[in-house]
Amino acid sequence: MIIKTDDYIVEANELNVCKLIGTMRLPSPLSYDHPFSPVRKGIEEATDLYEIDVTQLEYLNSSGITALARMIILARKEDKAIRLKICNDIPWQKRSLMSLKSLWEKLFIVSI
Amino acid sequence: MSLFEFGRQTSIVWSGIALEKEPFFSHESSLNFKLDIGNIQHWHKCSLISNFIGQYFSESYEEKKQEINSMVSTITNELLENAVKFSPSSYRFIGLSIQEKKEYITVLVTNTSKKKHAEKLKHCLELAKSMPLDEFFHKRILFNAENDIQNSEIGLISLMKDFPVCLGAQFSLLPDPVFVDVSLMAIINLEVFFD
Repeated sequence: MIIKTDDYIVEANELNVCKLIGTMRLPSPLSYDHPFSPVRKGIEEATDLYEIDVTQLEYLNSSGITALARMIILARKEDKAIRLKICNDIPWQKRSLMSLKSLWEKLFIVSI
Repeated sequence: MSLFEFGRQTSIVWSGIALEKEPFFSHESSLNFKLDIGNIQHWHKCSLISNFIGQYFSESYEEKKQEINSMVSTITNELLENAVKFSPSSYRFIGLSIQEKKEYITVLVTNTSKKKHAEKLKHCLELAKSMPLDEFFHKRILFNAENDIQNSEIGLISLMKDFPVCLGAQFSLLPDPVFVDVSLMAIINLEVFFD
């Protein structure tokens, strides 16, 4: 499944993997319900470690970080391990996403 | 002292910097915007302005341009989105001012907000002084998720937690007691990039 707009792409075509690409600065966490619906579905149906790849996500605002945190909380409820793949060259990612580790012990963050 | 004594301005001191004492006006360069709510509610414009601000001010720093660009854009965007969310349409304008002096970039956003929202902002800044920011972030994320809260202070907490930035706010009463003028300032310390 792919959700594509002028600003971002949410790509979930492979099992156990989704990618967030572009800039996601939507008005509220609720606004992320639709774009993150493939992520939610992917977590619920994951058969193994579920990877969320944000290495091509240039910006994510605080509403997006909140929405992403809710995906991590969902993964905890479903007891699904998550690998969050981040990019060292995108400065805010390491700063802002490391805090999500406190939400779920099976959240693994890898940086490339 | 109550924050909202009629007819008096009061200030929040954050991290030792009092808003009225900050050498805000002795800057080296600045950009100033007056944004019409009716226009800026085309939400994408917040991002466009923030990206421009990031690119413009990072031009001065060749070595760390990408990092500073990303950081300034992120901080400006959070402050701008915050002001847009909490500005009633009856008060049309948001002020945005970005000033640069030596190793500091200061982002100031001014808007008019309902008193209850201003009080929440004040409370957030005061709480941020009382506990480790990682803990504050964690608690707020969980609370918001459990209570399905859409508008929270996660953005401001993230700025304080993740970036070399000091936040301060000033509140001024208006003749209409329902509303308050809010000035929210982020002072970004760029020295950390050049240690």
